[in-house]
Amino acid sequence: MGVTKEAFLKVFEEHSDGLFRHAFFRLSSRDKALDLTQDAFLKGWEYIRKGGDMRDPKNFLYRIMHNLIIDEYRKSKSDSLDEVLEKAGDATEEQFAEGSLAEIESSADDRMLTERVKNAVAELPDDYRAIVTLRFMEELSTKEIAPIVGVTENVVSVRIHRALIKLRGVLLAEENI
Amino acid sequence: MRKINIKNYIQKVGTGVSLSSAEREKMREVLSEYIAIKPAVRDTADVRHRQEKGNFLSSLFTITKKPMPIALILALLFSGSVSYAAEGTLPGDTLYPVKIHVNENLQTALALSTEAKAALHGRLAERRLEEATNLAAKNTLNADTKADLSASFSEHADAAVTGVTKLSEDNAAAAIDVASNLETGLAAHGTLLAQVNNRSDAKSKVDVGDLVALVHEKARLVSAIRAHAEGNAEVSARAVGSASARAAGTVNAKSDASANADAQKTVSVKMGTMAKAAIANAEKAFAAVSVKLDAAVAAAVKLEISVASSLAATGDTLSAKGDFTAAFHAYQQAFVTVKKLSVYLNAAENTDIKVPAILHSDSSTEAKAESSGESNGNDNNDADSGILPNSLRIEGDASVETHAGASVNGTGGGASGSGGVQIGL
Repeated sequence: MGVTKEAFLKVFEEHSDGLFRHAFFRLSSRDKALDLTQDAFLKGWEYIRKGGDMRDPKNFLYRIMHNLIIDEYRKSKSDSLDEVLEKAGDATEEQFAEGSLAEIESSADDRMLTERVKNAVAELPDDYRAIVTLRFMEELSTKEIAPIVGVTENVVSVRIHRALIKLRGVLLAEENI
Repeated sequence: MRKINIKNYIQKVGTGVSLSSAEREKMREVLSEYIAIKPAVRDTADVRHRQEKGNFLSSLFTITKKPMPIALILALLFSGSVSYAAEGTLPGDTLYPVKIHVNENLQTALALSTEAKAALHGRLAERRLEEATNLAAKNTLNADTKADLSASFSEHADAAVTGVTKLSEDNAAAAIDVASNLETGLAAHGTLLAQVNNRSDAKSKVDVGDLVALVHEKARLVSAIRAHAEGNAEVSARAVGSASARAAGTVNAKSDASANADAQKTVSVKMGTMAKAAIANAEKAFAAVSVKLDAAVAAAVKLEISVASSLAATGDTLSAKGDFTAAFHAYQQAFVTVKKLSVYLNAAENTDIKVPAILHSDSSTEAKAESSGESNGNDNNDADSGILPNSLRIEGDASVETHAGASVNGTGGGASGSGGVQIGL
């Protein structure tokens, strides 16, 4: 049996935030993340309506999103790094302007550290960033991540490990300045 | 030194980022709307196609039982995703007015140069034919929709013709490209439409014979302009002959001849670029539809593409030798081959029209269409819709040598101009 409209809209409710968040951290742009999230669901439905199967919605949608992000990188390869960073800055401000009460409750120190982790994540190579955000923000297992980014589970584990070392290195370096 | 748990912080970074409820709501509405107009394929039979008339804002209001919120309408108008969603729609679909009134009007407004405008109108004319073919193939084309599509087709085709005519005066290379593209596209779409029209399984069929005739009429018009532009650029067989005759006969003709060579080079290079892009397109179209084709047809399509690729390579070789006229013809035939193929493959993807049927019917349908327009065949400019035979035809002047380009199409020389590039397999 195929997937009904209602079932697909339910999947949308469950995964739209996660997909959006993933795109946001990969692209450092709220607008692009919004567009790609919408596109991911339209493309997902296109696949399903032609008889495609969606046994594991999470895996299915993140794979579509991963491919869309790769396309987006190819398209905007010409963007200068400054521009990308600037956009990331804007998006960050915007994000924090919308504000979450949780942030206000936490200490200033904690906020600063969160901000620094956020920047450090943004500076990871995309291969690492993809996996780190899937693993720690979306809480996918290495087994789930592997087919999404198209590498083996072992490679996923290695990348997580290396990414964490990199992040720790960046943060410690700042700490010691 | 402080021990920090990075994993927790990464998670924390993430928790602050989510869709706002307005964003989620808008996205959900768009998705829901998209699913409604593109239901699962097995449900398609149950979906009644509505014909919405009047302006598209009012049709947006009436597509759901309850009125659509203004915010959603604005979102629909300005969201790239909806424009994208609207692109594949057909008359009767909810978002079709968005495609016609928003997307296409925007494209028209953005096309600034004469070339871009002419090319765009050509593309839109082809699009109307695609839509008519798709609806006819599904037996959902009604008389009103057919009339609307014919009128819109005619309008765009005429605008393209006007543009190409203007171009042919001062930019022959561009005129030839746009005209070659349109002429081939029209011929292919005409063939498809005729094939759908002749199907015996149609239930409530609307005859599209008059639209097919209109398509062929426009194709002939475009063909005549293209032949004229080719004459201007001295790449038609006849023009080249007279140019070399002049070069041999007079001293002044030398500078003339080198100017000609430049013009020929420009035209040839441009055609080469277009041919290669078309080959890439055909490969893409083939990849998209290959699962639907049976092995023999897939092999035949592959063969066509490889023939086009080797023609383009021949064009490169001839071009390197400085024989731009011959190179032009090789490129042009490469282009014609894959452009037709792309039209057929796209149709096969979107409808149940079978590619082999198209390929088999190709030569006969076209030959018929062309022979009917062939009665006054002695007039040079009254070209029928066959790019190569026309440009390669030797028009009475026995001294004109058939140049290398003729070798790419052995059938071109006859006075009857057998027409139609040999796409049959």
